[in-house]
Amino acid sequence: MLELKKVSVSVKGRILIENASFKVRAGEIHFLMGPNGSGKSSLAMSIAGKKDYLVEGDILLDGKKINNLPPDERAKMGLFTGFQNPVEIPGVNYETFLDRISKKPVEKDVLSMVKNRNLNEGFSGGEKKKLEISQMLLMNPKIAVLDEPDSGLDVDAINRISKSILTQSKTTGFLIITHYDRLLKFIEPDFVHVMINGKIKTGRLSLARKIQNNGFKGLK
Amino acid sequence: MFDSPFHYNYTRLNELKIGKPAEFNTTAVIETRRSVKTTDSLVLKQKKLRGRRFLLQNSKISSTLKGGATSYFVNAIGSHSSLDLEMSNASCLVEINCKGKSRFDLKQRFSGISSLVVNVEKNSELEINIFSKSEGDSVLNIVGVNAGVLTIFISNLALKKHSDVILNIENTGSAAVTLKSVVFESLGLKGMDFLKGSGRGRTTVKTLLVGEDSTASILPSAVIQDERQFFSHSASVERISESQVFYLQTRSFKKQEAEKVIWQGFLKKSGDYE
Repeated sequence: MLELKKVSVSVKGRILIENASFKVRAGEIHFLMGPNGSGKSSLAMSIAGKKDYLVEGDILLDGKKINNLPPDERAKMGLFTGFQNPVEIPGVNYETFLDRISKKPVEKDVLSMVKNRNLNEGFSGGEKKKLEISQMLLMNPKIAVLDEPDSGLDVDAINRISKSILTQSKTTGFLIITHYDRLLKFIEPDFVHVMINGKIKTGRLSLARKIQNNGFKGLK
Repeated sequence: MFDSPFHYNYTRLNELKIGKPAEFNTTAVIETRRSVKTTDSLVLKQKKLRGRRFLLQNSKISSTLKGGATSYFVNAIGSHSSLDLEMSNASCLVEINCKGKSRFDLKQRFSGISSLVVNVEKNSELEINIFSKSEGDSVLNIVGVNAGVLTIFISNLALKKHSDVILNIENTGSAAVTLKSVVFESLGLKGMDFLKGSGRGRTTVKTLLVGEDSTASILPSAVIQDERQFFSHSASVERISESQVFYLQTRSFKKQEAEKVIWQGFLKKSGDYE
């Protein structure tokens, strides 16, 4: 379980998020929505352990406070982070990388996609997103924080990754950052958190529908 | 004894101050000429060599040198030879004479002076791959004459304070030199001369700083003595990317492990996926 207890995040003295509190349990799917620049990705990066952010409050993984743990220790505890724009690392063989991180055999279609390729290098935005999901499946995490996994994907690709998320959600808790209502066609979240002006409002699917119909302005 | 078909002007070596030519005059020759499979290898572990000269053709040699000076002659006639050297305060000279299409790989962990003297004949192609790990004050010199196509790729791990790479190539053909260095402490790089003839030369220098306090001083120079010579140069120095390190850490790589993966990837040639 991932738990945020009155978490505030700031960077260079600017407060991005104030007093965020919620829990993500294995088997639950949470959506995190909000206008551009509202701090959604910053929250994801602070949970992952990026040192640019000053975090107050407690971030707990399975009851253990992880605020002072480096990103690799959080990953080993079962936290997976899917990036909005996965960074390219030239010269790092993708197959070797997958062997290193995966807890299960790599599927043939994934292997064919990464054969003779370097990590994230030269792939389209959509391909990188698909491969982020593949990495998540291979690492089999307890909690997966996915930053806009649907952006740049066509409707068929969104359908495919949605199926992967739904299958994996039996054992993994998901916090999915999304802008678009396309994902709502395939995944019904258990909880919806909306970030506006640094604060989080939590609700259910109806909250997401309200945003679909009225935009974020109706919530302010 | 054998007669080398290639006699480099040792006076020139002296001018370039890359060692004492007298030490490379040999009285004993050990031939390791093998004209069979390139997977054939001859492993020599010899210490305190002085003035020994080895001939390589389609063969691989591993040598350990502690002090002294040794030379190797590579008869690169349509062949692939390699040399694996561990040098400690020693001098090494490798002469490569290329006719046809050949390749030479040099892997060295060293402190001292390592010199390559190349002669690429017209209509010939020579590819040289050097992986160099300097473990003390060290100088890597590459000098020679190119009338064909010369491609040199150097991966350089600069572990200690002072590591110099000096290139002086008289180019009448086409020469491309890529030097990639990973710096843990500091690195000084200087001097590239393409001197005469109507050759085309290109040098690319890329440097990656890994240590937080690491520094690099890149001092390229191009001395073109022929207006027909076409020469281009590019150089970059960058610090290891925090975004890349963070990405790998979120995949459970420890920070040092992530940095190693990144700089090992940096040192690879484009198109090398192994």
